[in-house]
Amino acid sequence: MKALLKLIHFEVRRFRWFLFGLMALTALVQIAATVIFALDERTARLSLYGQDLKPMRDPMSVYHLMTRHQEIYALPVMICIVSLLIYAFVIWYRDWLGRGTFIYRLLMLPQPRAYLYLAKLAAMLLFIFSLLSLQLALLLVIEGIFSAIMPAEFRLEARFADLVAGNELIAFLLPISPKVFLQYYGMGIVLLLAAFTASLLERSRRPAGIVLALAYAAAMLVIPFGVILAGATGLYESLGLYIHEIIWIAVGVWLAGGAIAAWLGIRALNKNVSV
Amino acid sequence: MIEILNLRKRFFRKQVLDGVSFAVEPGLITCLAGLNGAGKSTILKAIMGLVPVDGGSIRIDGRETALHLTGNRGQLNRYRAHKVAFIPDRPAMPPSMKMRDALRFMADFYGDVWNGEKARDMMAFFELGEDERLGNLSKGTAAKFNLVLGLALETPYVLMDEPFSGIDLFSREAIADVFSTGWLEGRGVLITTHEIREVEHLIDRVVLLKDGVVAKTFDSEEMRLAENKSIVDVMREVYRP
Amino acid sequence: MRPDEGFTFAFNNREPVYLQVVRHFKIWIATGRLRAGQTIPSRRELAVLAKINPNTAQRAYREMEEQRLIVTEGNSPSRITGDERILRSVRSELLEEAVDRFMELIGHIDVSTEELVALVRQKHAALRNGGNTGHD
Repeated sequence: MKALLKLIHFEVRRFRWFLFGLMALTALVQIAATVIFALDERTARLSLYGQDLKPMRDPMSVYHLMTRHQEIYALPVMICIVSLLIYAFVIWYRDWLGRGTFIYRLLMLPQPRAYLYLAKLAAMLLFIFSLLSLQLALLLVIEGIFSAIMPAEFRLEARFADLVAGNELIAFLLPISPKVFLQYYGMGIVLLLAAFTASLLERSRRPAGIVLALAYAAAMLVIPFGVILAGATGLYESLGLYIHEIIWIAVGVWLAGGAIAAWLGIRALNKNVSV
Repeated sequence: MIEILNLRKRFFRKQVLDGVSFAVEPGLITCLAGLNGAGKSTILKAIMGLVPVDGGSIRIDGRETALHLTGNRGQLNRYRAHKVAFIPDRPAMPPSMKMRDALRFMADFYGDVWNGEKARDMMAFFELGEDERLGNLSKGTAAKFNLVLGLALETPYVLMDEPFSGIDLFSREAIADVFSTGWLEGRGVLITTHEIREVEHLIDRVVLLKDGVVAKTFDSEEMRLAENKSIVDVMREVYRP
Repeated sequence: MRPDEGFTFAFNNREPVYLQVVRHFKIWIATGRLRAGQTIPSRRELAVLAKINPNTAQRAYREMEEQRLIVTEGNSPSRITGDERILRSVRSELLEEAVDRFMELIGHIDVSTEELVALVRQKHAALRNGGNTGHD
């Protein structure tokens, strides 16, 4: 157990600069954008209304600010998402490639090889959720900056929910409803497991492994599309299923997909993986 | 004893190993020799569970450890790690790591099997400084450090893959000296090498691989006593084109 | 017994290493480098000294014990035997071996024993008088 924690610690240490870089980028872009746009709006209003600061002259909230500049705020988030997608594969491949073939050491460790899989999974989750936490914190910072720059006369209060809603991408990534949150991130984790397993399958039984990996990837795509397609063609209705039954089936299918992915991946590590 | 029985492995279209059988006895230094691409490295990696084979058996002190037969079930990874230390022909650590970090990594995960004091003694013997980054080391220094990482593990068996390959003369001598020291004493050693001349007088047993099978196995001193032949002489006979 | 004291080893790869180690010891005994009763290094130390495998050192010691060249009492370090007969026989063994080899070399040359003995006497005297045997 302690070894698992050490492995997780090791994985996290390996990407810390990458993570800090992404965090710094996101913070910089979003803060700078807020400062620039807020100053802009303030200057515009001041020149329009002069010093005649009657209360509530064309006021705006930070929500409006963010809504007006969707792309700028979304840009660093997109970069983070793409980076994470790439890292989901790099986290495995970096151990095989390069001068230090570290995978030798990892596979030879006295600990069960499943720990390697779990540690990388935990590290990815930490990566994802620390970026999400950063974004939440940044929203507060943005609000604070906006309040500092915009005089009260031009400023409307915004609720936190509005802050999140201010940007489409961020709103998607941080759903208000816990159920939706679980749904999206649950599916995301299953897809992450699939990515891990595909990588491990490719590294097994070389060179044939890539065939296995692609076959597996194809199979994994069948699940979400199958579920959706079945819904679209009215399969469920024709079977006389209640809505909640359909949902449970969908959840079951996804859970099964995740379990199979993990099982296949760990099995590959234990039996078939080759340096 | 490590018993290899009927090992088979195919790479692409080539049947690299076609029924290889031999044993590594405890306390003796066995040399696995053969031409390039004969599959020596593959055998070592198969013993360590780094490469799956298509058929055959690998028993370490009586327990079956071949991946295709057991798949690391029931603490097998742990068993293997406690029994055999592997010294690969390349540094198997991230190049950004410092030697000190690599040592700590081994201590962290191997616990009792790792002998920190032995590691320190070996570092001193090879005159290695802890603060260098692994990526910056010369081949000779990297090879010596690799040796430390393997030999400081208290295992009854040690596998070495080409410990002398591509290394400068003085580093080679330093590494050869290790064979005379107590660090290998009582341990069953399996080494693959091309530089057989460097270690002729250090080898107890020789296993010659040819065309995917074991062509000849012999005790080097018996061969010298009975037939007045050096290991190189026998190799010339076996591999004569 | 250290290299800087002149105890160096040279091996060829066609004779058993352990027997070559034994021969080195015999030469040192015959030349007086190793005296009766002198302690010799442990097996491990010998391995490091000769740069050989500790198993070979073990084999060499066992062989020397069997030939009674060395004696080991309990846990104390081994020593060269004190038995004068054995020490003398080592000397004669080496001499005879050298002469046998000499005979092999000159066996096919037509020479009388007297001429041979005279030559040997001359060379031996030169050797005793300080090294150089004339020309090599």
